[in-house]
Amino acid sequence: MKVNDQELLARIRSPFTKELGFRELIETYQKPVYQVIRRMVLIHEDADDLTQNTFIKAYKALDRFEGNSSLFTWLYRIATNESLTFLEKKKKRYFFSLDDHQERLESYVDSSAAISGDEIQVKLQKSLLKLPDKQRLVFHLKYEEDLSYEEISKITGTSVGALKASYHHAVKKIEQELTQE
Amino acid sequence: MQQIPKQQPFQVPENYFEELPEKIMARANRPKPSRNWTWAAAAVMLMGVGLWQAGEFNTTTSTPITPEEEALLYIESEQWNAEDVLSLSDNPNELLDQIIEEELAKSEPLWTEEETWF
Repeated sequence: MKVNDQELLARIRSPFTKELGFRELIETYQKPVYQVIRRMVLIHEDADDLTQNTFIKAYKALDRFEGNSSLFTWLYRIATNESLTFLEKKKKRYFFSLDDHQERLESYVDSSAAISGDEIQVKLQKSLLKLPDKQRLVFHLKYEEDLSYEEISKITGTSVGALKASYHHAVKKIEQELTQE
Repeated sequence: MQQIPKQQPFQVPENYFEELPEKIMARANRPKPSRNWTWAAAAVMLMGVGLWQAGEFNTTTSTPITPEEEALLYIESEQWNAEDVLSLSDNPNELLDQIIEEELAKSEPLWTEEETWF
């Protein structure tokens, strides 16, 4: 655990500095947490909700945080769980409504100014959307965030072997998609 | 692998990260409404069972207020707190364990090793 984490935790656990410490925790980790969620759910409003939920859950569970992993790993674990649960719910809901979340995301990629107008970025986003959510997450964490398999293993609770295989499949599929047209 | 470009960071509304900590702090300090409904649900169930067992629950006469509504009124008007609701039960500890388990389940991690990753 980093020294900064220990200082933050000490502040959060003291009744006198709890709020100050929690605010510092948010300020320290809000950008990476938001970006990892946004990469998965794409739409800002959804990412905003999930980022808030991530920190609220962390706040409520901080007493049970034992420090076996870094705060970064722990927050990423909550954030990725939140994102995957959200996407799963959207898929289930599709059975009961006409709102296909996948189509919504694809049209968001086409129309949003938040995604760089660069053609290759739009193409990349669209190929990523074709991957299963968990495979997409592994790709983001490994390729975009440059995390080690060991770190991703701690975040996802999955073995390094399974993650390597998952990443390999993801890269192959994306390369295929990008070179197709 | 070199053919795959790195993703650009997503754009966010102006001042988003300056305002986000305040929004989260406000939410963290807000009392959780769903907890009241958990207690309310427990109270409604217990009160319903209690009245039925006591033989006071008459379905043939029209009553101005149902036991469920009455229980909710007590809770919403803060005449009953969590301890009052628990004391209605024959086994408060069991009920408390059940409620805590339900609350925790909502925030449990969802990953298992057996899940498909491909």
